[in-house]
Amino acid sequence: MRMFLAAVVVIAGLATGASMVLDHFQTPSNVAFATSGARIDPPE
Amino acid sequence: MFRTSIVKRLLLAVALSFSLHAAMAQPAPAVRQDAPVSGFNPDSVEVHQDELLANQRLITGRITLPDARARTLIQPDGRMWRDYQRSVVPWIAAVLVLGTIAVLALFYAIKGRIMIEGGRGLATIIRFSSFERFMHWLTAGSWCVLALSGLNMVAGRFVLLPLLGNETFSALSRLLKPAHNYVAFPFMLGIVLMLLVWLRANIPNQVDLNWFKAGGGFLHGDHPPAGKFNGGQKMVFWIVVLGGAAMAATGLTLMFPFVVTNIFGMQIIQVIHGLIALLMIAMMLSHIYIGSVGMEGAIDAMGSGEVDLTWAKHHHSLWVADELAKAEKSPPSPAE
Amino acid sequence: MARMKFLCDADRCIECNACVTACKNANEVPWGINRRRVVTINDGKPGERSVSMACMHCNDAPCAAVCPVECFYTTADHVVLHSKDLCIGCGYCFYACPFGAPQYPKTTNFGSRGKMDKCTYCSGGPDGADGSAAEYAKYGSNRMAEGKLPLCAEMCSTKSLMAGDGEIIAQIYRERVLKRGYGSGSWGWQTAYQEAINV
Repeated sequence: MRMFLAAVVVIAGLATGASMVLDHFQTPSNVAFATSGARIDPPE
Repeated sequence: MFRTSIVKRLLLAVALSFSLHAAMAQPAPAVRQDAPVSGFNPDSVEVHQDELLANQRLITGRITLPDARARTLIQPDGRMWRDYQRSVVPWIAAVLVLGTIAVLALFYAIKGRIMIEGGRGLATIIRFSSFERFMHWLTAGSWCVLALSGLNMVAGRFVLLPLLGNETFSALSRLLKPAHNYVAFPFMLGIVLMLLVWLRANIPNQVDLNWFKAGGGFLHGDHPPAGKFNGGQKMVFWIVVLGGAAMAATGLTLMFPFVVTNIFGMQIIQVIHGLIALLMIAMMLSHIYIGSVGMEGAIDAMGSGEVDLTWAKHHHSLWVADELAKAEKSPPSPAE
Repeated sequence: MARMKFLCDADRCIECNACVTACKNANEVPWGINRRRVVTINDGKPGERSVSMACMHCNDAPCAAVCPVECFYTTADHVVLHSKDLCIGCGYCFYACPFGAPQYPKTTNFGSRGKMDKCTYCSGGPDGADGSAAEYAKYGSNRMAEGKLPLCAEMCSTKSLMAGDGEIIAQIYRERVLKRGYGSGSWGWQTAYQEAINV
């Protein structure tokens, strides 16, 4: 039972960690497709 | 007057030579010979959607936008993918998920719970260490979240949406969808750990062949010999590790759309991801059944890690023999 | 009741991108989201054609069919719209759409791709479809509520892009092809509406 609970905690922790790490790689479209000729306004 | 007719004749000559050249350079499209109203035929090479699609799966061109995906003008395969999602997948899901549940329910109704022959004894034996149990639950817990959130994408609109209504169902799905993406990571860790720790014990051998030939003991109520993992468990192991690896590979590709492949590739990968998922769900439902309701004494293996010795002798005789032999060789040191 | 469609006459399109600019301006579309785009086939070669493409508002829309949360709906004019409140950003509609109409604010798909955005035929969105400021902020202009056609077609410099009742624009196209003697066909009509304009 204890191992099951430990696993649940680790799952939640790893998933949260993954979301934080991956958010670093997340690019909004207006940044990803920016070119030198395009002026980007921040999205509302 | 004179100049106009020369210009007109020149233009006509250019147009005709242009269309001849075009006819030689591009064999596929038709060359129009009849002159339209203006006398100059800009449509000397006809380009039709059907002709282009006869040679390729999608029509692409040049675009001024920085997003290269926007180059694709039409990808009619999208409709094929849609037909598969709406017409085929729900049936596969129903057969594999509901069908498996039905078969298991039938099995339980007929056979009932498989009890320990002769009843529980007094002695127990340690079957799985804390770490083994931890990594099993890490994988199993993640898998349950992944399976349920994945099924929600496929079947939620048929099963839950009518019950919850649009707003609530969307709110729930808005949580389940990212959960599916992020819980994939503990799942991937879990299967890697399982592979490292349990690989040696899951290599198939003659004992497993004999175990399968004896029907795993289900058919005649006997107990064919088995090691730490019997043939059926080894099958589950490889399905989880290999199937899980395939799910991880396809899933990661789906999380980074168009990095590895184009729209056609993404559609194929999504189809594979869904199919393997449904097959794994069918397998795991059986695994969950036999490990809990289906057999007395089984849940102890992953619960406390200590199983009834009689049960172990019946279902994993070779492993018990090995463990007892090991214990005899190195007797436990006396407690201080 | 009118059945609204788009028709781009590829033999007239000069790739000026006025339709794209008009759409972006009228709907305040953020950079990176392309509701409408112009694709040039056979660029620089004989048989070069440019086609302006956005959501075609299909019969039996594939996007609506595959959406896991059923956030799409069809208006009385047969404009295919969706609710950004219900959208979970899974990306399925992009896989299904033959025309690449759905656009997303985020490029990667973990978590979500953000709320899907696409051409609304300048019809705004749900929540009353009243042309209010709130509707404009979320979905863009609602010209249809004012009895106007989409701005892309209105601004087309050569009148290659036509919007309006399917029967009417098909007839216009038919007359053009007959008069001038050539036409590369109504791009996307077979896929979207299961009909081709025969001249």
